[in-house]
Amino acid sequence: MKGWRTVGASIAAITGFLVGFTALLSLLLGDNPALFGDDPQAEALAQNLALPGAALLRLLVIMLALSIVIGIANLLLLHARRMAGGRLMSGILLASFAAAIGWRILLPGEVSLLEAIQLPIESALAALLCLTLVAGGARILTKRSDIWGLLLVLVVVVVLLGSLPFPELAPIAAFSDWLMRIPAQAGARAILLGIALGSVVVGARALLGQDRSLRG
Amino acid sequence: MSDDYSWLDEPPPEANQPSASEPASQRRFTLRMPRFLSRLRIRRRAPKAAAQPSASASLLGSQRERPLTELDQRLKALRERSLAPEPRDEWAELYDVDQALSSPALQEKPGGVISAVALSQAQQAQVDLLTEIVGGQSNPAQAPARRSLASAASQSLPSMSRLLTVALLLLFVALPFASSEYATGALPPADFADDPQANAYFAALDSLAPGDYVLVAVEYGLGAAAELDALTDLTLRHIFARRARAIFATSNPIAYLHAQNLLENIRAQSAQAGLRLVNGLDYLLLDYLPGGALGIRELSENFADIARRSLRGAPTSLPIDSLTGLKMLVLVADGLDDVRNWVEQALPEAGTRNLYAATSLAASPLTRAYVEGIDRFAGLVVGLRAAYTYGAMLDAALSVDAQAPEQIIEIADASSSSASGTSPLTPPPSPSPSPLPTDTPRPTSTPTPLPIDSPSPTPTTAMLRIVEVTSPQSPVNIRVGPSTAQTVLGLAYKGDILPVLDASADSSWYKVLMSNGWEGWISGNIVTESLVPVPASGGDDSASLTSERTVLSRFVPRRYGKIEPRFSQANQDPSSTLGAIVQLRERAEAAPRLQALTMGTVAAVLAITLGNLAAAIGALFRRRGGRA
Amino acid sequence: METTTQQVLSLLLVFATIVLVFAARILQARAGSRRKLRSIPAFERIPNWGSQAIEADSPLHLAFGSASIGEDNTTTALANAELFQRIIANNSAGDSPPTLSTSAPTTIPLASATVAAAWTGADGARNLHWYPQGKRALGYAAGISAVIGEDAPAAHILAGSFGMELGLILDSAGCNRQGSLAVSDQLEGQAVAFAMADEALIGEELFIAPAYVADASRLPAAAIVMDIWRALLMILVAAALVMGIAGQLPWLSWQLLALVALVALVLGVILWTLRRRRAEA
Repeated sequence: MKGWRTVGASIAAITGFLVGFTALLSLLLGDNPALFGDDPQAEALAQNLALPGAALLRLLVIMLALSIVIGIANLLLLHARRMAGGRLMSGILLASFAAAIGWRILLPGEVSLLEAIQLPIESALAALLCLTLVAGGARILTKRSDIWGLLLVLVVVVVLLGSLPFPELAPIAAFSDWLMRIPAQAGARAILLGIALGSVVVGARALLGQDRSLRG
Repeated sequence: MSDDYSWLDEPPPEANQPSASEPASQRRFTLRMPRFLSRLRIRRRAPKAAAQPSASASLLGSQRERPLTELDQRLKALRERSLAPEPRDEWAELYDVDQALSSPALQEKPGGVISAVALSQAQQAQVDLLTEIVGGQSNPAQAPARRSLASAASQSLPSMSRLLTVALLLLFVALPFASSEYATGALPPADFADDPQANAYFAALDSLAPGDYVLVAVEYGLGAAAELDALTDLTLRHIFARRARAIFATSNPIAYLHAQNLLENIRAQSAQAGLRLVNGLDYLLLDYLPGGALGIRELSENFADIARRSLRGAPTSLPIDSLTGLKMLVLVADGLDDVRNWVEQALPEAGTRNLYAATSLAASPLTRAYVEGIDRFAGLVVGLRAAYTYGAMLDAALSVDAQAPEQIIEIADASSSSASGTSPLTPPPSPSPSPLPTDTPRPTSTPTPLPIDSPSPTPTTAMLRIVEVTSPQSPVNIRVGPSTAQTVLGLAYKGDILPVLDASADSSWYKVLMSNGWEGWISGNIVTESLVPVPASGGDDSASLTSERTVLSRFVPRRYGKIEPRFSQANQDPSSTLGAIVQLRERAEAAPRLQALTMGTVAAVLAITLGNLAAAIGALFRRRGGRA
Repeated sequence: METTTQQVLSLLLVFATIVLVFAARILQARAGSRRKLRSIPAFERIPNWGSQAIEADSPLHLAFGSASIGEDNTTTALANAELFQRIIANNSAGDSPPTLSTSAPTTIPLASATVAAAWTGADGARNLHWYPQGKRALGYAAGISAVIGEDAPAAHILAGSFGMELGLILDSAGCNRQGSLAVSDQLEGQAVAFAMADEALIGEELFIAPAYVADASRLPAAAIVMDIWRALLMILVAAALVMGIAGQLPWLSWQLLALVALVALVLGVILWTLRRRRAEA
């Protein structure tokens, strides 16, 4: 049994590697004849090289488009089970789902449900989020009572003051602009670089089939 | 290892005295619970009383220790954790069990139960088992009260400081709407003089020529709608007012639906002014692009395929088959990643076309930094304040007077005015002081400037010659002249009835009258000609166009009036309707919203400063107290 | 930079990473486990939360956010899956299977496979929530908040792709006194995580997180490779900075720069030695 599992995992890893490698080469090298020098065949070669990558990407896009079906099936099954277990919220969710489908069938082309229900709800949530963030901001020092917490509070206050449209606050606005332009940018870029590095390494691991979640 | 079980047999100081003195946790609970909540009592079955130390405890204690080498990695890690320096840490690890074990005492105390100990059946069984093992000897007093009942209860209610923060914010935000006295903060300037990026955005849209195609990417969810809808709306109206055409694209499914609705709103408003926006002609809503960056890549490489698929057979004459055919790309987004996706995936395929973006305030610092080094990123507007300025600039550019909207609209809704029998020259009943021009159907104030080539008086007879559109493919085109090579003037749908003014010699083309008074030619292959009798009472003494409309509207009132000019065609005469679509936008709440934003920011600064000040002072006092 | 140069450099980067990952694994196997991972306090709480979940018979909530297979945050989703798989495996002694949530439908199969591989009990993937959709979807946050109210998870590991909506989830968690660890590959989400979560990771820490959760005694090859790249990147940035300054300030000679570099190097070595001594003490 274990032997078969290993074989299956190896086949999956090899297939993944081959497909991934082909796509990578095709996407990076394809469609750029300049890479192949002055060879008269360069154009055709570059185009042919681009084909597998493009085909795989198209396939992926189709699969991504279909994945919404998985999402809906998952949502319905999960909440049907939860409703059977007596969860009221799941019942409401399923009823809303049915109502929205019914609305769509009875009034084809009518899209105002989104504007009438979803938009106000999401806007209310955004307002709630604003309240939550302010309430969270008011408690930064209770959570982080160190120099970094203090710094965070100061920066938040300066940036907020800088965004106010009062002419008297112009010096603070200038300082806030500088804060956002230089130190905040530097920090943001550092974080993004870190994430990019991590992405490359995880990508390489996935390509090599070393990713545990892929091996199953 | 057997030593680890010693706590099981440790005699507690006040064992088995449930009612004599209340456990500490229960006292706290009773004190802190609001009365209305303490009345809610959740019943729970009593755990089995087990007074004697059970055999299980002694069995566990007498077990031989397994050699460490036999343990697997996870058990080793567990063992290391259990040998952590704090000897009583087991209580901290045993989540809620300390409270649960004191349940007999809790059970006898009337009036106090909280959900943290409302155990499920499975949990109850586990507690029973544990109680049996421990022999009912537990020592909650010594356990660190890490998750006491009282704190769990109070935490589920919003704390006082939180309530105060929320109340402060709500009050400040509501004030500008309640009274103009609190309308504080300078409103945004009337133009983008000090913001070259925003100015470039406006100037690019303002320089659009009739018939230009603009790709509008709408990439924000409903959460950002309150901030970005204004910019999207203004951008679209600007494009339409310049008689250019918008092609919508998005990789966000919710944004796709929302864009449809925004467009619907503009369509409904422009229909009031007698303008009709048609999908596939004046704008094109591309299908949602799945896969984020991949979807955008797919669009930029296979634009023609996606456009064809999105039209689903509707008639169009989209003359472009790639992004290079566009005049420009406009992106409305609420995050840097969307901007990056469009810059990386679409811009390289768009030839020399520029990308312009509108973003939310939160996304702007990162976006600004990101786009600095990108050649063909040419303009950026940010947030609600920019929308306000943009609106003012748009009004100025199109000579729209925001204060007197009634005077601007010059399209006559001919069918409604003639059908209701009022004179086209009747002034509006009462010009509304509200700057919202959309609430009521607009009465006609001035006659329509008709683009009629030559007045063609139609003889009034007892019979009226009409054609009915019978083509299975609907809508069909009405053209300027009797040839398919001629420009499309408008559309007619299956079942529409049009009065005939003239016909070509072989009746292969009919010159018809459209609902707004325009004349155009429709092919004989797609209509059926017939004669409609005109009642004597309906006949007018003049041979005017109005009389025919009146006659026809009495016969086929439901069908008549469907045919309206395409928007971009209706705007051919710049003096007539250029500003209408901009004029009709909603603008009443713009200033109070901005002032509310200012007040909200002030409240946020106050709340954050005061809250953290209180926390800092509290911490100082605690530290001093600790030292003392 | 020219497109061709970009393509060649990208390809080189990927190949170099692959080679480095291989080399690091081989070297590591030979040299044994001498180096250890640096300490990240956030990870020390995960076992505690796991124990609490097992003992209280409540689930752990593991969230992917909008990290999705096939989109630009695919690697985030993969790294999450690996982290979650190890967390679930460590806690599979409990009765409540974990609650997983995502707002990207393509992540559902990944999440399902993750639970299936790690959870030893039956039907581990029965609490797999998907709420639509898109980045920064507040509807997702609202759905998760409802689940938090009903399922009362012991703690939340929110590692993935989140925007501002993370604030709502963290607030719900805070109100219910549930622990939270958060990290996001979007900067807005990262800021919210830092301000509101009990524990926050930053940047690439997400990608080496699995190593911390599984076995803290050995440095994984991925972490070594990441360290190498980071060092190279820092040298590059420093070099670019120096060259930029040199270009802007004509009086700045190469000798002066070399002197500054030397002083910096000596200072660095001294500081490093002091730190090492202190660590040994």
